[in-house]
Amino acid sequence: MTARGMWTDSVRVRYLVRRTGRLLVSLLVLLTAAFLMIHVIPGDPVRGALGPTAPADLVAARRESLGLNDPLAVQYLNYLRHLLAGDLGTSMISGLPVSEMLAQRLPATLSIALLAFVGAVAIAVPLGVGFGVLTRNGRARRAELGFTSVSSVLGTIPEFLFAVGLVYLFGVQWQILPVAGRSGPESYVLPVLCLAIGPAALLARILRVEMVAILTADFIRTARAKRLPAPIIYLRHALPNALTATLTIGGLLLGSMIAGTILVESVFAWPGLGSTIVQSILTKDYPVAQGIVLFYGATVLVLTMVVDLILAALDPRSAIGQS
Amino acid sequence: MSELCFHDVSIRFGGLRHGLTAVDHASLTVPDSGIVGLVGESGSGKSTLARAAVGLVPLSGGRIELNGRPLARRGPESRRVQMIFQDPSSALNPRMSVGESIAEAFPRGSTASTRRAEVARLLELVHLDRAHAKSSPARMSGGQRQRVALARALASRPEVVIADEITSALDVSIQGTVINVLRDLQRELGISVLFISHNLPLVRYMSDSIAVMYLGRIVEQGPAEQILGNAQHPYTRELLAAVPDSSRQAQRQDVQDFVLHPAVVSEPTDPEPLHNGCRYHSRCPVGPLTNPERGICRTEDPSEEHANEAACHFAEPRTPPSTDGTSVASAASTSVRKSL
Repeated sequence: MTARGMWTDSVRVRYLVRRTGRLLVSLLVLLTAAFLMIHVIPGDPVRGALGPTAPADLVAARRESLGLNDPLAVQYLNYLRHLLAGDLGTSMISGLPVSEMLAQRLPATLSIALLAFVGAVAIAVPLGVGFGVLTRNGRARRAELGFTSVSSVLGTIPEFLFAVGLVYLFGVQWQILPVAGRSGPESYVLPVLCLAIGPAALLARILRVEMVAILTADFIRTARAKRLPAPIIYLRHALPNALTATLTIGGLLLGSMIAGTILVESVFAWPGLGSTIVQSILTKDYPVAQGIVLFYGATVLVLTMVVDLILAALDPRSAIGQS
Repeated sequence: MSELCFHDVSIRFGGLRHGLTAVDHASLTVPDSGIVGLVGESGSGKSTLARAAVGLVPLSGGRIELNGRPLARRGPESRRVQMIFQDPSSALNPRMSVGESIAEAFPRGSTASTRRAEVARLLELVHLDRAHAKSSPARMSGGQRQRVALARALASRPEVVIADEITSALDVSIQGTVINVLRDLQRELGISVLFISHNLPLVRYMSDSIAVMYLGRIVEQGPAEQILGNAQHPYTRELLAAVPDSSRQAQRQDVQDFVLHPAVVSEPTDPEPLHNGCRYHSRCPVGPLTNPERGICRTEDPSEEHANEAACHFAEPRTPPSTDGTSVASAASTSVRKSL
């Protein structure tokens, strides 16, 4: 017993180490890509930021202060050194440190992303379980057809199209919800809805399929033969076994949801990271764009790792399978 | 007092035209503290009949009664009949520990410590260490899991336990352990058992009485020694003869039987009878295939007015129970020795 316990523990530790190593490699790739970003953009980033009418000596001085005249390797090392110290550079427009801008804009983005994720799960789990139970063993074929077609359509419409449509309906047509800015709870409704609908539809689809598969399992038959009440059969015996795939996709959806905030924030003029990065690209404020890209990328990488670790804890086979 | 009665039970799947009658007017009684063996080939409706008793399959006709009262559909009363399934590797929820699975059927409102004690008691009843309560089913062997399934069934203090092929997924070396645990518990707790199997030696070892099913019909039933020693229905006799014998001479005999009786090694007939008459006539070694004058088998459904309630036109007529018991028993034992 203990020998086996130790064995699985060492497998877990090895998996954790390996997975962390992979995260570090991915982060290094992300850092390098973000660094090279400014060097592959055509034209002089400083000239672009300061505008065509800026005096040449100002551009030269700014280039010098940013270290853009140093050899590439030196620039790269300086960049890494600053990053480790938590210094993401300074905005060329506002002169504020990028890390400060991030800290200031992050809560707005995080709040809609998390609300949307919680909302998507809260919609998807009852729907997926309900339709799974309803359509088990090929029952209610019409309901299944309706559910799969509606959810696949909803799942493939991009967020910004939802955003435009919802703005038209709620803001223009019925005028019951604010369409722009962050002002009070009602302003959250539309952005969160836009972010949540697609992931909710996808999650519900996956959960339904998993439930249908689990409900044919022998231990469900045992539970029925035990004469357990239906809610216990579905919620205690079926749902936990159906969650593995749902959780995997859910974690990836949270990552894509954070990326989705870029477009949704632009549509709703939401003062978060998404609208900031769009603005910084338009004004060629490359340190800001670079910092936010780094932040988004790192978030997605870390989230993926967290999902992997949760899965490995729930289902140790997934860890062994990846060795 | 715990007697499970199937009265004239019919179970149909599917619609009227494309449906299938899995169980056709079957009547069977599992007496108080008795073990009834139910045998028959695959597809004969054994498991369907059993599942109906725990409410997994709805009845199309007839009724199932426990102690003369219809089975409750829900609530603690409905848990008086418990079933153990064939495949122990999938019958337990992989996300629940053994203890959780067992404790689930306990009555509400029991405290955590009494639940733990009860789980430990049940595990010890089935000869498992109480430390197993915390382990997951995935860490146990097939025989251990089947014993957990047994403890799980006993947790709701059933009066009747239905064991549906509980050893057929197990290693031969493990089968004995599980079977002995079940038999000891049956004696100790006085529960009634419906023991379903296609393994005749096991059924003989376990059962007080035996019922034989063929295509949804119970074709013969009676005390175990009667069925094994004085089988009336040709299908029962073929089942008994089909048990392999490891001796060399018997193997040679089997080959000869195979050549002599091509009828009985044919595939089972379609469960949906397109014909009238006896369901077994298209395979029967003593029926119209070999005796053309026995046309009645094709036209008339046999009644059960024969010894062992055998549904065969050519079974012995029902005999008064004054038969010399010793001679039957000795005949049974020699015949069993010969055929098993």
